[in-house]
Amino acid sequence: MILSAKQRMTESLAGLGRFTLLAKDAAASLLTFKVTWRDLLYQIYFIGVKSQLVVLITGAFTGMVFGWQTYVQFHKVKMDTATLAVVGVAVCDELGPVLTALMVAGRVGAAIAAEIGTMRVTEQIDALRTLATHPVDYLVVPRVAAGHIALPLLTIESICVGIGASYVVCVKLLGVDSAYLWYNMLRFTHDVDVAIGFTKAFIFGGIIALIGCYKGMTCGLGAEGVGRATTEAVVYACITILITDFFLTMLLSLLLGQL
Amino acid sequence: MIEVHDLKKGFAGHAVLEGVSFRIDNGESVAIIGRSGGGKSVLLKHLIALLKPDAGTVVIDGENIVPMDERQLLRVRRKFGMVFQGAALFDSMTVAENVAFGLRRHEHLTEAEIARHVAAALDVVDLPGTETKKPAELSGGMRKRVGLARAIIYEPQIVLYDEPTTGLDPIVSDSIDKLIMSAHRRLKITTVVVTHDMRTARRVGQRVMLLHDRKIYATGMPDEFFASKDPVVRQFVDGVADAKETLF
Repeated sequence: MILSAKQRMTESLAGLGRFTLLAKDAAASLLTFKVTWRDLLYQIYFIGVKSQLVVLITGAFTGMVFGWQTYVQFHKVKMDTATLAVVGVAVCDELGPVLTALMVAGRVGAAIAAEIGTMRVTEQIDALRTLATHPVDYLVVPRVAAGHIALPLLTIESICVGIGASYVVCVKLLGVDSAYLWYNMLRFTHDVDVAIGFTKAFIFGGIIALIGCYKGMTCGLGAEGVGRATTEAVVYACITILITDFFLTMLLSLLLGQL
Repeated sequence: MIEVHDLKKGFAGHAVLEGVSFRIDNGESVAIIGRSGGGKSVLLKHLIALLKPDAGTVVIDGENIVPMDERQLLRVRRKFGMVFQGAALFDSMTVAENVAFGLRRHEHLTEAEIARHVAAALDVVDLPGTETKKPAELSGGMRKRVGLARAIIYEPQIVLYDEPTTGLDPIVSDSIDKLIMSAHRRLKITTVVVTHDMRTARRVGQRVMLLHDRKIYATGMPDEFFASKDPVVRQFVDGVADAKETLF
């Protein structure tokens, strides 16, 4: 179906409005503790524990590549021992939270949209409503809360593994002095960098889960509708993470006195 | 008591219901019949506010539920149970978890009490010992019976059935009809059955309504309804296609 520019704009704005209402409803429900603990724990397991392998591999190899590339440039100006300091700051502030969020968006965002979308097309969401259960309380809130909890923990893992892997590359493969390398990393990587990464991860976790839920709950009918919702959940989550990351970086730098 | 007044609903400019009005008393059992795609399921979903009408009112026990939001509706929906056409069982849960869903959410019972209620409900629908099975392991008839157990376990005042016997063989259909009647008698619930199966309508309805041309066209006790000489009622009851609708 070919839509005019005006129709597209109207649909986009209507979609944004529906998403905002869902976010408001989820926030209100979350703040009144309508979450079922059993469901929350299962979602933390699904989003957090089952995403560990992919997050650890991403963190380790990103740290290794970034360490190698930084060393190549710093070696030219005899600053080999500053390599891990750059890696530490970059991984804590940026690479850790963003890459972890992108990997989790691919795995979890798609799974949430597919599961809830299938529930919608098979009338399971209507069945929930007839059983006097609000779909936002039962489906959205545990996933969003689990996203907020799991992603910071995964990000911390990713940061640790990334710095560790970079350290191994620098010391074992490139022969950099380990004591100065570690000392410089600790000297230039501050608590505030970890706080920035942690805050970003907390927000990204909610974004991934909320977009997955929204796409699932508003998906079109049939297998095609579920397939499209799944793809859109991943694409929209990734784009939103990248755009939000810029504004969060600006805001957090100002708030935490980095400038 | 269910009162529907001047209900109108359309989708994408196509009118499905145009001025539907009727009343169903407490404890009554009503069969709503009509052609496939004629708006029966749409009408049923309005009774529990799964759909909002374009105009008109739906009054449940004196409360108009049309202007209510989803949170306000939760209280009203506790009076209802609904059996869906495709059963709509939660496929990630076992049969026992499906049946116990309403109890777990709304009643403060111990696990032992819930297990006892679930076993009793499954006994009523003639599916004892299926607690640990997943919906995917069940046949269509078994799924509908589990859906019925899920709908009646917390003893609602009103149970809505959407095409309860569609796609089932005559023997399973007969057992579903008997279950609907038995639940109606034992629990004294208001029963609304939407169907295009004449046998089901005749057996479960104390009153039969025909939804035709987007309105309630005829209503009556089963004996008088099925003996009606009205050409539209006769055509539907006898299952005769119009000449223009025949393919060859």
